Amino acid sequence: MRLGITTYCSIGHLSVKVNRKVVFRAADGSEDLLKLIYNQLNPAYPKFFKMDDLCRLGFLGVEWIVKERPELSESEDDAIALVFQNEMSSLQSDSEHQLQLNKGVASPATFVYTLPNIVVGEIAIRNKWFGESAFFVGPKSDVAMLVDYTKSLILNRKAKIGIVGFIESFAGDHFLRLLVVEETNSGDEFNVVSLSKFIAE
Amino acid sequence: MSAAVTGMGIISSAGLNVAENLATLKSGKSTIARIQGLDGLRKPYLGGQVKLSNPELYLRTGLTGPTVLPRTVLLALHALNEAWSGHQVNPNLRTGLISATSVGGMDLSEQFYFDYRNRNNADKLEWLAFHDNGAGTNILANHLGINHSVFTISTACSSAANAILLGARLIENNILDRAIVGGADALCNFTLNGFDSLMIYDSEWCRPFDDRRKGLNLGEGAAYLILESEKSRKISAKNSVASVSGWANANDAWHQTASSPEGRGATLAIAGALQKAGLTPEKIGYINAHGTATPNNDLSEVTALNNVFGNSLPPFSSTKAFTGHTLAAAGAIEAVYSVLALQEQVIFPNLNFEVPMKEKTCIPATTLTQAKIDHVLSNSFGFGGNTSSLVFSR
Amino acid sequence: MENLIEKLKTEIVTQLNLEHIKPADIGTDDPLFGDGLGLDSIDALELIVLLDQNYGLSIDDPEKGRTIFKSVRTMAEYIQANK
Repeated sequence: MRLGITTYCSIGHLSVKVNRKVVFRAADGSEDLLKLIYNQLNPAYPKFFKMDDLCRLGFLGVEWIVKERPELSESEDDAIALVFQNEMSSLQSDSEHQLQLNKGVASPATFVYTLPNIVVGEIAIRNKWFGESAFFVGPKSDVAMLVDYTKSLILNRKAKIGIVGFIESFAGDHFLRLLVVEETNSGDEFNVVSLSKFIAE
Repeated sequence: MSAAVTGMGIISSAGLNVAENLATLKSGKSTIARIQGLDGLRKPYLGGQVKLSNPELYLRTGLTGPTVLPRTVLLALHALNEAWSGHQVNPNLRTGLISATSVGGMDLSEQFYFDYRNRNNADKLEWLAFHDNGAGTNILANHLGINHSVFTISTACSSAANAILLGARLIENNILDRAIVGGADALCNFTLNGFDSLMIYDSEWCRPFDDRRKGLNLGEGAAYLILESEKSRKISAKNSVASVSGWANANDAWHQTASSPEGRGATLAIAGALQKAGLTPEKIGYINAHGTATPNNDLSEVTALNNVFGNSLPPFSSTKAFTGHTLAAAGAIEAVYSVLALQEQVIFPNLNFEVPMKEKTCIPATTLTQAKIDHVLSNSFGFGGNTSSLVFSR
Repeated sequence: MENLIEKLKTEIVTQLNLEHIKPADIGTDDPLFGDGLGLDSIDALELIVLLDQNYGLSIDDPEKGRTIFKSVRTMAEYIQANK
């Protein structure tokens, strides 16, 4: 079975690219890239403002993908699998939670985001996707598990489509590389080489 | 094709190894008590603490090198040593390590931070190198001599169940011959205070499935299983104590930390695991429930169980009243308990239960009961809607 | 009481990160939960933190929050009654 890449989405360095074309670019020196992207997309989803940056980033990446591939919204409940990785887990929210604890307070809204896989939850809630998901903590340079996991999901018919990639956000620095992967003879083949190359772009 | 379980190791408040944990479960006595030794706690929380200090744990690991390691890693090493005992690295067997944690090196980092903030003391800066979840897994991998296929999963309370699921699947797909799977989490100020802020931490002993339940007690610990393919067992010559015959993961897609009232994700996971195992519901002899004793989880979980099993459930219990909720380790600790239930042919009791939930008619098992059990279902549901179920078979 | 109500509206917007909402937009008697502002269970917990931090009132049982947080007015009345 051949898995092909059918959509690319990357966010970082003030821009959003879908299938390697720039679809949004913020002016140099812009602050709060994520809010700017949200305003551009205008998904009318106030819950966005409660999310932490990691979740906002992942949410927006998938919003752009669904904009490009609206048929994904019509998928069967568990047809879409979400398979993500990052190096820093939920460090940004972890730090904020710790700062609150230092002041003798614990904010539930912050604590909720001190797990990296909450971004998966937010995406699933938004899109009503009930499929399988996974979150790995590991370096950009080692994405073998993302490939193996996605391949075995689709091979075993646990999912028809995988949205796979690397999502990192810390101290206002955002990095997202997501691929849509499915059984197809078109598009670049999905494997460790093509995923690693995309992440390195 | 199921993955055979050929080794198990565990450490929790209920005991320092498999035998001690089994004895505790059979005794019917909880090991949850007032948490000692954490200075930043806002309340006198009850929890399932492992009765060894970090230096004591360290001494038992047989490690050399840095003598200060995160508690999560020490617990993991302890359980790994028991699981791996009698096994060895083999160039003819593709072996992977899939380890789960949510706390990672947080316990050391917060200690460093208190020192640094209050006393301007940055002496222990090198402790921060252990903070990230992957760093701990690397230590485990080095200890075992495994340098390929080493992965860290972090999906909250379903993490270790997902590690087991993944290991079994990789074996089934002939990507690995052997997988060392499980997880570890230690108690720390960060998580204790955090869960309390969600107002789901019971100030008393937790009461899974009881109508008066007020929330969970946290726990700490680690557990690992060695999973092998048939080919691997022919080479390793290890006996199988059980098999991982079914598994499934789904997303509840409802809320970041609460479960949906209709238990949608859980229903998909439970049904999916049974389907994978090729079993109809009445073949399940015992359900080791997620059963955290939060008002939300227990009702949602029973709803999901009813969706799959109908109104009359097989015997079920939550063992979290023995150990506390061990977060990322829970899926593996409870996997060990599921295998023990198969080996011993017993149903473990659900402690602290007296009053059935008003919304449901089900009653968990409250005493240790001999039963013919061929298959056990184990549930682990995590924040972020990540729901997983596993089936273990004789 | 009116001062307290206005103050509460500002505090609610800040505490709950209600980006698109101005304090003046919140009706004093509008339901905070359900259809009103569409707040959820985590927001309810944050309101408990708000009462604790800003007014020194602690709530042990999240269920009590349902009546106290019905509207800005009921919140203000609770604060006045328990100062």
